[in-house]
Amino acid sequence: MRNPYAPIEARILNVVDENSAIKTLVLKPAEPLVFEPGQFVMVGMPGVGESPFGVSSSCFDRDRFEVSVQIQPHGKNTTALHNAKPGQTALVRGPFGNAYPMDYFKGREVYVVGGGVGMAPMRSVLLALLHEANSYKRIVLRYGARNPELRMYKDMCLGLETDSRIDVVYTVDVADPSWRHNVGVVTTIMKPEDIYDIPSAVAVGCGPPIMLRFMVPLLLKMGFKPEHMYFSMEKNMSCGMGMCGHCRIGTYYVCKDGPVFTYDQIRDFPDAWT
Amino acid sequence: MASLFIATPDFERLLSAWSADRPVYVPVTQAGFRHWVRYSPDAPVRSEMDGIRAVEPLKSFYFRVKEKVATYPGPTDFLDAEPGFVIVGAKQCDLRSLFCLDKTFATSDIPDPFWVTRRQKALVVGADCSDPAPTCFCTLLGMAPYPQDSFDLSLACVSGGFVVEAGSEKGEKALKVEGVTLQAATEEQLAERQRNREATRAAVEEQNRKYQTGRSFTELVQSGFGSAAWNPYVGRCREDAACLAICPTCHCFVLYDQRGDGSNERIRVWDFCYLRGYTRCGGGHSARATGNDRFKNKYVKKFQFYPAKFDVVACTGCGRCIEACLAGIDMRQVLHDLEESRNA
Repeated sequence: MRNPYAPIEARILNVVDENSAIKTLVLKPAEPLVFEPGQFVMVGMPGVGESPFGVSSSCFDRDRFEVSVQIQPHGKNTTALHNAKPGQTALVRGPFGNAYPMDYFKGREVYVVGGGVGMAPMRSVLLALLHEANSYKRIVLRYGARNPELRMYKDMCLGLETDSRIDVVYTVDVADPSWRHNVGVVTTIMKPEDIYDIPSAVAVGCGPPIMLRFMVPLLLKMGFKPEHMYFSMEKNMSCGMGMCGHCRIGTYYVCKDGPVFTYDQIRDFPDAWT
Repeated sequence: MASLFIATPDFERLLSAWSADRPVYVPVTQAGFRHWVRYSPDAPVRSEMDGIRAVEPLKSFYFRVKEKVATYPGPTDFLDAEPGFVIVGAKQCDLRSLFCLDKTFATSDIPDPFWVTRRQKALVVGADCSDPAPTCFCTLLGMAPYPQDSFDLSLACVSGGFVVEAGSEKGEKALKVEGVTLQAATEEQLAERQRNREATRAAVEEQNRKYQTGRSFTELVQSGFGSAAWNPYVGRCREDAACLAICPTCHCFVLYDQRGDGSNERIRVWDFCYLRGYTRCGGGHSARATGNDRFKNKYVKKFQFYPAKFDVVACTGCGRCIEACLAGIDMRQVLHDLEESRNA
């Protein structure tokens, strides 16, 4: 029997500075890690600990994967991961949890909304959408960050601006002189005209709880069906297997029944939105 | 399997035989409390099969307070080196907890190997409860104070020995010990067991009459989530988590890593949802930031989550939480107040 608490080793191939607070680690696990967009992994440094991260890379890239790590005040593991260098060994368990139903999305307009570091799992979704762009009716991205410096995946974002397969709008809460996009929170760039056929479209979102709280009524007002509003939820997780109890909201374990939930699954659980 | 009778000296021989190759734990009263104590044929302890449950929840044999769950670099396969153990004299409130925790640790798509192998190897001998505490309330949960779940053998004290029944093949095999005689239980012995069972059940029912609710606890917690009836208890709760630490079905834990001697260790230690940092995420936000959220969480977990997920309430009516609460909070009263507030 496999010991699900035992990590496997993963070589750090690269460490990318996203901004002053976030680094993306490119990891090559000792065993292939087959995941789907939306799933998460536990990543840590030896003797330090582990933390959950939504995989941010393409699920079609089989021999490596990426996670974006936001350094946390007093965070032992995130600090260790930020200090890690290419060539060092990290630890991985997973993947855990459910994924976005990409097959169900096919033939529909997909409205991807990311906020802050919540863009990490959205990147995995976007890369999967773009990999088979013809299978989807339309791909729309709305991405907001606190300021231009704190935006993640800057190269990818720049490339998407001229990519005919996707309709993108970016925003920041606070601009600087270099900023040439919208200024305002992410809900200010979400418009009903973004989507042509809202009743059949799906929305996919990840961001801080406050963003989700504002985004939900707006999506509903736009006409999205509650069962077509998908969110990646972030909760404290320790085991990833539905045992340790930490991530439970209402009648779900986020690590096992989620992290992807539709709005109609979690609308009545207050602990989902804080 | 038929009901058998085993005389007390033969029962001692059984314990002695079982203890030859693995630890046997029996309930023994020490300094006024009943604890699980390791049996030894050389220095026989006075094991007490009647009476009430032990102070320590049975889960702690399978799901230890703290233990090393992985060493790395090292094998990713689970290495099992334990001989197993025998639990003798577990009451229904603890037996049910094994049933409940199997749902979390054993039937999951990723089972916990520690729980699973210990469950497979352990021999569990249940026993009738004969001395319920004022805090006991198994009958409010539709249970009876004698073995019903998760036992390999069940014992009921009768004159001169025990009525014994097997609940599994493992239990049947465990009775086959050289020099141990079992007879078919007589009508009188079965009648004595029945009288004892009814008397205990009646006593538990009587002391809980005032807590009886018309609606199920699940319905009360679900519909009463926003009720003001919680508030006085939220104010009193010290959030010391004593009720959770001693609960036979609470299973929360946290993992942490430490550097060992030449390798690294992953440690699992019990954790409790009443502690403030329990739901705090790296980013600082917390799913249950207020005392009100946390207090209700125990009830939601036991009476709403578990039934929705596993079709069983994760409370066994053992009453340990009531005894442990320094603020004197009685779960039965909380649930009763929820119903009263609906009717008000």
